[in-house]
Amino acid sequence: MAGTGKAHLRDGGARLTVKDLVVEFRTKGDQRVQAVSGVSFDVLPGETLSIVGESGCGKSSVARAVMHLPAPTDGAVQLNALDLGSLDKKALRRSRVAMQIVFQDPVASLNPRRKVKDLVQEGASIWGRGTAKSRDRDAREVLDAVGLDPDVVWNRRPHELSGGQCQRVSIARALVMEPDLLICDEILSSLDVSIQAQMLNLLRETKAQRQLSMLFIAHDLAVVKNISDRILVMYLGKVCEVLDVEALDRPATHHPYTQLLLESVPTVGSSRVVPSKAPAGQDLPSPLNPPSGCRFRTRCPLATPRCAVEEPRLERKSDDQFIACHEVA
Amino acid sequence: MIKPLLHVRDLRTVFQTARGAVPAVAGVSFDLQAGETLGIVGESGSGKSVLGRTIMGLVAPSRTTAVHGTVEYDGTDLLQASPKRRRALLGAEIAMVFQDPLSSLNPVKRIGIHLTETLRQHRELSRSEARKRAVELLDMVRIPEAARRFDQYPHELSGGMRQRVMIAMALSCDPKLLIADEPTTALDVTVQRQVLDLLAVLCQERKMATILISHDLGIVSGRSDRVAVMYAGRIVESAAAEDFFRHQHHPYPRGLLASTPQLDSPARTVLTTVPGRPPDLARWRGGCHFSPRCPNVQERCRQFEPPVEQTTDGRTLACFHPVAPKGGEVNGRNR
Repeated sequence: MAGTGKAHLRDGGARLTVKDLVVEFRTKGDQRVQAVSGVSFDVLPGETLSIVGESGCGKSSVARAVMHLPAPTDGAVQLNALDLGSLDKKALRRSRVAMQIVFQDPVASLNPRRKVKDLVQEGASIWGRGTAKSRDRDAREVLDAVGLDPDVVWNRRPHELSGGQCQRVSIARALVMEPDLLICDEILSSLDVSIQAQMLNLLRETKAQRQLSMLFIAHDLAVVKNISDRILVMYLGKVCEVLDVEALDRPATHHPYTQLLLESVPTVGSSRVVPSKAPAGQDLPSPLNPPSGCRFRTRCPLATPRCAVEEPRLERKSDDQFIACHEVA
Repeated sequence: MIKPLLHVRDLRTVFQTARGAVPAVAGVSFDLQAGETLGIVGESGSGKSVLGRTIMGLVAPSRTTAVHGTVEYDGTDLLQASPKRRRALLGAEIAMVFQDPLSSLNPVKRIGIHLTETLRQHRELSRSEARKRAVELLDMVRIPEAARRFDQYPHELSGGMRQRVMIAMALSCDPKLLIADEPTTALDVTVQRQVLDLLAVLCQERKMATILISHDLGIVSGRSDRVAVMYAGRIVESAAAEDFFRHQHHPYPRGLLASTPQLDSPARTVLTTVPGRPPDLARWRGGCHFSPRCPNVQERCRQFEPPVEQTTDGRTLACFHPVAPKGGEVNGRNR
């Protein structure tokens, strides 16, 4: 059960609790591939949990499974202590309003034919919230909050906006529903550095003002460190490490995969990088046929024969760090 | 002074669009010595890719495209050279690595064909000689089981491997100048590191001059001898890498650096941002292009475009009101 432990879950009070989440897809030839294999985590009110990992590690699948887009193959998703799996279609739709998701591609996720004012109000008008007048007012307020001038963008369509502006509209569209949980799936990766910094500050402020819980999916650890309270590192559908962001600010031992990610982040400075002449690292193994035991062992510098037979469990290393590894835990 | 390998003077690439003339590259000058690495950094729309493609001769002058200026490679002006002369140089002495390895490889051709095509064209090798050389090249970019990969199709390789194939293609004829346009943007961080390291080692071994184009200062940092930052088609500041990262005179590179999240800065650091967004080049009415976003803007900046000037410490700078370095400063960020 590599990285499937629940030692890192906290007792009660969580806004979102996910237990033993499994997401399975069918492939051609009736094979099954597990994108997510038994992942558990929780998010407290006002907390930001980031999920990091390489492409194909299942981080986006987790985000979609939490939204029930579609429902996960197995496992429990509890929002405000309500088990979403136990709800019928209508009740699920109703409770899903409390979770809003923003996707990676800011332009493709907006209907090109609709104006900003309609895009932002769409959710509220579907749910019949308030009057047309109050919805207008709310939309203006939230546009202002995400740093867009309502008078300028009100009647514009997505093609008249830049990528960063479209992403702001998407965030406004999510916030206007006053969600308890905001899920951000790689929302910064298509934006320029200066725009990305504006968005990071915006998200941090919004979260503080609204006591918003966030599930932030990203691949860039430097960005994640800037925005998160807690970080969950995923590899091939399993959890490697869960840590509070403060643990990155002190010298600490990490899961070898976390360590690899940390070392790969480009640093800015005047010192010269010494290129390693090591042979090409192994690519991500196929999730159709994941390695036995610990899934990271094929790329791990510390791997021992034990790692091939026995899956490590997430174990508490300190109050704010949980690691699933035989060698460093 | 040694004659530079690449000498670019006042290069301009202007596209005629329905909305008016867009000067994507608006007067760029720089020199590149043999074996030197120049990092060019800019955000989308700054003209960095068009600059690379113009040097490579991939932006051809036409009814809608005008290219002016000088691109002198080893004594030959590439913009004036005959098509035959250019074909002999491009791909052989000057090579390029593109951003997206999947769309740059032909999906219906085997990996090997991509490599042997260049070799047979420029080196006139026989089929079997070319194959032997191609397998060596795949081996050199550390692709495991090179001989088997030779007969595979691009979709059978991972993104990192495809980018290695692109590098092998570019290096097949031992170029003296390599232009790498966002070579790692489509890759995961772990793979990015490997590919950048590979490029650095190969450049060192072969004394190859490199232009490394990226939107990310972190990619260029530590891997370039000189750094040039582009904004709205111009190089607003360039300096030796060490000097550049110690202090930036131009407010744009300063802002860019301050808005890059750093792993070694404390958690939840509030980032200093550059407000606003880049200008619309087709509708520009004059003045410094950065003036609408600049914290130090003065009246003069709104009226006149600052000329690119050489400073005493070997930088080039296009700014009327540069930021002076403070004493004992180590780095230009987090302030």
